[in-house]
Amino acid sequence: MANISTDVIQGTLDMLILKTLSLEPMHGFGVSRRIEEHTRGVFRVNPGSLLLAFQRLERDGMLDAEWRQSDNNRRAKFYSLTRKGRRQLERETTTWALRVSAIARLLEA
Amino acid sequence: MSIWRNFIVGVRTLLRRSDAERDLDAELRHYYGSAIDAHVRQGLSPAEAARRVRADMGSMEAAKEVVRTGHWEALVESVARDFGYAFRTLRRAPVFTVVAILTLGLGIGSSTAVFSVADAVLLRGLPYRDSGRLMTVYEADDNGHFRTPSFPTYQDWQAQVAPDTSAIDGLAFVRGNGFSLPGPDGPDQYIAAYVTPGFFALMGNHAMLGRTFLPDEERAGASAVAVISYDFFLKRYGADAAALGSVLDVDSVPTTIIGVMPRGFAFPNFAGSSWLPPALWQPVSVFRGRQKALQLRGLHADSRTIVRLGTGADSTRGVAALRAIERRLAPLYPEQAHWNSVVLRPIGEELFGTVRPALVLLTVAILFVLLLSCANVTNILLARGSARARELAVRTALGAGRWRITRQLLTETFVLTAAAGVLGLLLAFALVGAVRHSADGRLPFATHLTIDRTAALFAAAATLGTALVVGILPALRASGGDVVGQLRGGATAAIGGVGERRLRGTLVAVQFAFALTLLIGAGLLLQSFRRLATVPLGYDAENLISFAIAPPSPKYDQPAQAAALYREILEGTGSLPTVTSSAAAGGALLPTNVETEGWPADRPPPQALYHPVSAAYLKTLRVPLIEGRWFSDDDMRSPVGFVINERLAKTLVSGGSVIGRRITVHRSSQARADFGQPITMPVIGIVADIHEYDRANEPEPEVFLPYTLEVWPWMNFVVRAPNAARVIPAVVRAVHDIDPAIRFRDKPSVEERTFAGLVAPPFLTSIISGFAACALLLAAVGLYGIVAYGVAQRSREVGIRIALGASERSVVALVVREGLAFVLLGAVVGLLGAMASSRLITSLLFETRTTDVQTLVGVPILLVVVAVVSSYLPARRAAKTDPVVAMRAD
Repeated sequence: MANISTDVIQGTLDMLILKTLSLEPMHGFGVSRRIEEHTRGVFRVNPGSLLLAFQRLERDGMLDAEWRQSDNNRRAKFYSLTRKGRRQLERETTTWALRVSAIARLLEA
Repeated sequence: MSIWRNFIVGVRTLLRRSDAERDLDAELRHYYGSAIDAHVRQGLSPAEAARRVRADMGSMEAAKEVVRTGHWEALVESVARDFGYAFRTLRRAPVFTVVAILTLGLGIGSSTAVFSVADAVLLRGLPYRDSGRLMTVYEADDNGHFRTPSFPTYQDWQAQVAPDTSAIDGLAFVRGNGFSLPGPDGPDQYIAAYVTPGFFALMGNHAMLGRTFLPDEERAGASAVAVISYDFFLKRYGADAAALGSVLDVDSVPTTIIGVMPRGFAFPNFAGSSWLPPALWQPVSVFRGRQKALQLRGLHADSRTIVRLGTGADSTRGVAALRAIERRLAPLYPEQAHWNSVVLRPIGEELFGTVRPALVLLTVAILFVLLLSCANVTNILLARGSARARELAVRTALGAGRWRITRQLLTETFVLTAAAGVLGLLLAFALVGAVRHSADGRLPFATHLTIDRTAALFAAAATLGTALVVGILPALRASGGDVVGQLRGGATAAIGGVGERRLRGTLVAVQFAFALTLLIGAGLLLQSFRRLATVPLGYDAENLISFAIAPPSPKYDQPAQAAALYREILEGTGSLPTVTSSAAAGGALLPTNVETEGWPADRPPPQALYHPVSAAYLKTLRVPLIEGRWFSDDDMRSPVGFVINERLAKTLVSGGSVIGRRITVHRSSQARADFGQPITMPVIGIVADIHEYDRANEPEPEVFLPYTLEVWPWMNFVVRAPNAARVIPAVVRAVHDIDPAIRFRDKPSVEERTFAGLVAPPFLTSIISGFAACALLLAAVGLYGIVAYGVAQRSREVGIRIALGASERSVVALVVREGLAFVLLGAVVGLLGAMASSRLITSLLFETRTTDVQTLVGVPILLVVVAVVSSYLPARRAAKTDPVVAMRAD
């Protein structure tokens, strides 16, 4: 189990957030749980780092945020991907795939 | 785009911190709430779920801190907090704050003011193309006399110089003449410069507005045109471009203005050690027809010949080229043969030569004062640092990092110095305004003095530099303290104080070193001023009003008309109540040749100042008569001889009497038609030498003649009356009663002219003495501080000594001795510093050497006395310590 540390792989956290939000708008805890479930608990995100990443991505114009009622009837801040965020996700997915295959080839060689 | 957005959101966060906090809180509350709900749904009790979430995710506060500090605005906030804290701390110590701000503000302000003067005069450079190659030419003879070449000489050189182009690029000749224009308070006096073709090209300047002369305008007989100076453009036309094409009466000649030169173009300065640049330039052809002086060879008038050296040529090659020309021409003009040499002077030296050493000295002195005030404030800060050691130790113990504390202390220093910088800038504005006001006409470019961008940048740099110099040391020391020891209390802290006392002692030594260097400089200047003031002037300068008038043209253009006017003024002022006598004296400032029978043909004739005077001159100035007789009223009507001064008499004859010897002088007033005509008469009397304009130099040889014989076109008057200053208004009235159009060239005043100019001894001496006094005061305060601090630190030790029977005197001696050790160290360094910097001051001293014994012994004694007094006061307090109280404390 690894706690994602923002200073080490900030880019990775940003990509995970963008990917998760590309499915549907979500609040902070939702994103965290989704990341944890999808990575089968390999990545666990600390709330401070996650919210900071949200704010940064929002300032960069990748995310939009709005307050809405959540399913448990609490007010929650929902984040959604902007067009810029979507483009950024595509770019990152491509480079990520390239990198992974390159590393894989290197490790298999 | 996103940087902009980041900025906007950050600023919004800063401005509405509580909104941002509420949002963050709500979001995290939802986050943690959802996490707990998730655990509860899996069957944990709410309390257990909450515990698990806390263990997994950490506290909500920690998460908030991560978010808060993750953005750029967090840094802004913490800096703002530092500032807030700094303001509160400084407000709690108002005396310290005010003293520190005043000390540094004075230092920064006065150094900025001195910088802006030095910048205008020394650093900015001359506005002429490649000005290092521009030289003023002088002819020299074997006796080391100089003269400016005459116009015919210039013309010959100009004709001959063509083949030697590699050493000399070009020559130009400028002749100056005064003219007046009606102004709001009567006529204003200006200088016009008459220039030869190619002058502006030689200087390398274009007109800022309009143009310079066309070849047609420089031909004889062309209608008069003028190019005006920037200052004249401002003053006379309010910088209105309509000045171009307007017509101005220059010496009653309608003259069209065709151009304005750029600011700073101010050549030549005919005023010698003062500053009087031309208001306008005209082609020399305009002037040539009117002035006979320009046709005479060998006459040195108010003119300059400038040469531009060729690329790569130095002044040695320039001199060689001009001397070669002179040798070629020598056979044509045998009577000029002894003027056989040429000297070139860089125009920068010509313009600023007298001001430069004084300004360099001022700059160095003010830097000393600035550094000294830095040392002083550093010392106060160190003392405060140790007083606050416990506060800082508590903060460190509570988790503040070393860098955090250093930053905090530096912020405090920065707030102090920033306030001092603002104060300093205001002070600099005031000082520069005062200099601009008082130095016009004395200091080059005085009217341009201002706190401009460069000076403001200098002030900012000085402020920042001061903040660093003053702040670093105390901040590093305070943040590196022994936390446990400080928290435990005074006993251990006192041990840590030894190193600190040494550091502060060193600062005191530095202060005394600077102070001593300054004091020695001031001492030398004072000594030199004292000697200068005791030079006998040769006449009675007390209660003497002097003034000069220029008769309005053309009403008094004829010599007889002017003579009648002068007689009226003499009678009018002489008959005023309490006035005992009134006299007139005209004459050129430059000497004229005195020829006499039997003078060896191979020696140049002696030269003398030429003074047409009225009969009461000797009586009014109270100059002693040495031999023969002075002029009577009859001599004014029918002149029969000259009177000369002793110095000229000694030059003319080596033994026996000169009375009765016939001498010949040439009429020297260039404005008159009979200019240059010889007058031959016997010498009828010899009077004592006087220092008329200048105390520092030997009196000049002088020849006097009745003012009616050569009626000078303008005239100096001297009026003697007890309480002379009170008579000035009556004198002004008397002159204007005779003709309201009369213009004062020099307004009536009782000031001694031998001390004129910005760099004159009284002015410079008082400034440097003021600096030195400040320095001594600062150093004394610093010493008092360190000794008082040391005494406080060691109160327990002193208490024990007293309890063991130490006498009050021995305690005082102990404390004073320790303070003096630092002072003596500083004094030795300061003495060495003074010797090292003596070169700066040598040229400003009069009959005083930089190794002046009185100064070098007297000043250190003064310093030690001050040091003893300022350490005696705290020492006495220490000796009065009650041993019981001291030992029980802490």
